Amino acid sequence: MGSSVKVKAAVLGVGLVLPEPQPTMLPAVKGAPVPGYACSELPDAGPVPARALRRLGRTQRLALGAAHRAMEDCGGVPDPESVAVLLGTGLGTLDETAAFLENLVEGEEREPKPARFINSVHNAAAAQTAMAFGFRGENDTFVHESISFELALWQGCRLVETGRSRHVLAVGADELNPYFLLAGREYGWWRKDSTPPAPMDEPGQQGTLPGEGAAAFLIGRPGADPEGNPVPRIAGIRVRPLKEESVRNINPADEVEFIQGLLADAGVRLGYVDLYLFGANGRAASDAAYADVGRALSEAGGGIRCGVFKQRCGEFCAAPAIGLALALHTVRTGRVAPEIQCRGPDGAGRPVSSVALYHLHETGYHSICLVTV
Amino acid sequence: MDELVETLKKQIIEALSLEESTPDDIDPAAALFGAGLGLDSIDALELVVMVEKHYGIRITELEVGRQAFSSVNTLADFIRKNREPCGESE
Amino acid sequence: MGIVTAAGWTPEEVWSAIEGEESGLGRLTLFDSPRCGHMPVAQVRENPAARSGLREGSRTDHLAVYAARCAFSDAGLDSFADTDRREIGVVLGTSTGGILDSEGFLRRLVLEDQLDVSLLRFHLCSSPANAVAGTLGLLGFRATVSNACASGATAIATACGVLESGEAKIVLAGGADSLARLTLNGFCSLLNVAPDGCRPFDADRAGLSLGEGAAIVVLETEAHARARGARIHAYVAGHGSTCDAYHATAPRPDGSRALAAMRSALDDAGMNPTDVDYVNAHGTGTVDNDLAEARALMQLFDGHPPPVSSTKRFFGHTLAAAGAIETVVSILALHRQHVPANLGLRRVDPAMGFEPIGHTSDGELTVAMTNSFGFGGNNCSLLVERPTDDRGQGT
Repeated sequence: MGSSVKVKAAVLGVGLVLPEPQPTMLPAVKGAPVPGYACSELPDAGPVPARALRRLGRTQRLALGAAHRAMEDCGGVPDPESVAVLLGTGLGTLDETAAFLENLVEGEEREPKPARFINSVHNAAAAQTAMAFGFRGENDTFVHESISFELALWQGCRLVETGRSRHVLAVGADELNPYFLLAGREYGWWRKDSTPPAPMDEPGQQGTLPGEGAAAFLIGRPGADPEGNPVPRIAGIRVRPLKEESVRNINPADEVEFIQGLLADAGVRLGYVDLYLFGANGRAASDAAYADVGRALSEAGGGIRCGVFKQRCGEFCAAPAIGLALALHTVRTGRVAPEIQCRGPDGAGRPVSSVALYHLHETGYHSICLVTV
Repeated sequence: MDELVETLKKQIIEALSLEESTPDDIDPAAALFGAGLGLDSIDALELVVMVEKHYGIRITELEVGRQAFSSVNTLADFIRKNREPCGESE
Repeated sequence: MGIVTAAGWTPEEVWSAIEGEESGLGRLTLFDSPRCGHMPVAQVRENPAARSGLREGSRTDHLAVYAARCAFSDAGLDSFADTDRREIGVVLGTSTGGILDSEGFLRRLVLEDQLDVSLLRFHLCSSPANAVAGTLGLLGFRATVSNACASGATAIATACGVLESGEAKIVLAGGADSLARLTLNGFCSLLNVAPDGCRPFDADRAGLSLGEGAAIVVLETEAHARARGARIHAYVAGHGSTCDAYHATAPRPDGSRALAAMRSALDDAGMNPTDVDYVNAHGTGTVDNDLAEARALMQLFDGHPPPVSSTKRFFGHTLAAAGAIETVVSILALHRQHVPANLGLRRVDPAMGFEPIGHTSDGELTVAMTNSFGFGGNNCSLLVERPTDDRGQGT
């Protein structure tokens, strides 16, 4: 089944940094605490010395942790100096920016904190990753709200496909931050209690919670693993603005066409996909839209199996990277990753060798990524 | 014992959050950067802020900073030469 | 092309400043800064909100939308129907985004204990690209890159990739950044800002001067442009990007990865170093950048570089906008057959090994290289080429 599909890149290593599975109440910068999925400990950052590490911001630490795990997973690359780093983050190193500015305001600019400023540039995480591993190829940071990681992945696949880079480390990372929690609370983005959201499930459990985390993917040109093991591949990634202003107004048939377009480019049809992994997060309008798309896909393709994952990590700009990591774990093992909850008819233990990760972003974008083994 | 040198050691440890170091660990004649304490250029910038905060001396050029921060002793000399007549703000 | 800087609101005004060798540096009046307010900055003097046509947005949003609307008109796209506009993409670079407004939110919170989250609504880096897309009705591929000082160049390079991939046939690409307390204080705390204005490659250079602005180019596949009879200002002949992976702020002193980016751009264009007629250097005026860049240039050109100048004393270092502003400036240089002055040069640092062009002068220019070497070690080199047939002559 896998040999007929046209693929863009092989995934040689995956690193995943998940938050704690149970949401906890977290301080916002002012007012009531906000429930969210937090990483209780920052991950091991591999080659970065402890002294340097202590000086880095949270998003940098998350990204480095994911990168380290990805490099351990793939066992290294022969030519690190040519590896490109593409990182997507919606908020960047917000805690460092806030710390620098707070200090400026409180101290009337008397005692600036240069180290915080250096960390506050949006490409700080990608720069540190490059330094830690000696990756000297192209280095790009995409900061475009909730599609930041999809853009980084798109660019990464382009670099591999066109031969501009032999290897690419694509990373998605976003941190929880008291200012972010505050903004979400004031704008009404989150549910008020710490019960995990149940995307596309009981209407009574509506609403979403913020989270944080990171995932990194070492990708390269498609080709078999030297030992002959199946290597997961990315068959395509597409990310675009929605034509409609709101997810409430989407036309499910258009979404099916969007998904079919990617599949067609990969030389396959709707029925090829064993599992659709949706980025549904528990918010009512968004869940309803995903459900509509799910129904339309079933009608068009004769029944689909779908799953959700944001009940495990919460909602944050780089969450699609978590979804991709879980999708890849699924196709590598042939079994649905434990962090994914299936919705709708189960495949009765049928092995999963292809997953389509689909996001309908309330901010006005959609994305589809097909992985296969 | 040079009081200024001892005070500087404590202020350096505090400014750079050198949690594992004590004042006794720092040899005042040894290099602060590269070898010795192994500080880097970003630490140097933090020390610039520290010197301004405690001694009212504002370093505006990197080269001046690089020379002053060679060791704790050179820093103490720099401060003695340049600080405001009314003494430390601390 | 569309451009807004402290030295002019149109390509014509910008070129006039270059011909007249008039720096856009002046006093900071946009906000108060007790510590850094004395530093000369290249501040856009008129309020961009008054000229952008954007109902509301951050200062950066207004700069971006103004430049985008100018470029859109210049490219003859005003007459495009809605359905055609929906296929047009936007790839912008920004580093400050809406931080000026966000600073206001923080001041109110910290100093007055008042919460006004409405001040955060333009905070995200995606805001300028969204504002451009929303104003012009563009629903094609959209992205924001934030590669510090290389962002504008990276955005243009990325947009070329978007065209090559077939995702879009037309993409608006460039960069925008406004002055902000964050960046002014930030760079000052690095002892990187020159009290008497930047002097790139000068023996007495003392750092950079911050600026603000935006520049956007309309990139299109050649086939599509010719089919609709569009005027072609220039071609992006090639691009190359690398990373120093050396230090969070300082460039690799030997310039080796900057050199690699330039070589990569030339390979991409199928050109040799001898094909380059002019180099618009990154040339911020910091001790470290200029030396590393000079080493890279001397190696690339075997000790004999073509005319080189940094135009940063005209516009300041506009951070994410720089790569895009300098691309427009390079294209103007190709059209006018004049090399812009390396303004601010009094005595070149002998360590450079070459002499930047001191005064705006004549040249025979077909190909220009523009370099952006950012904080964090992001290096991006672009090659632009003047069309040499009758169709497509510039402004």
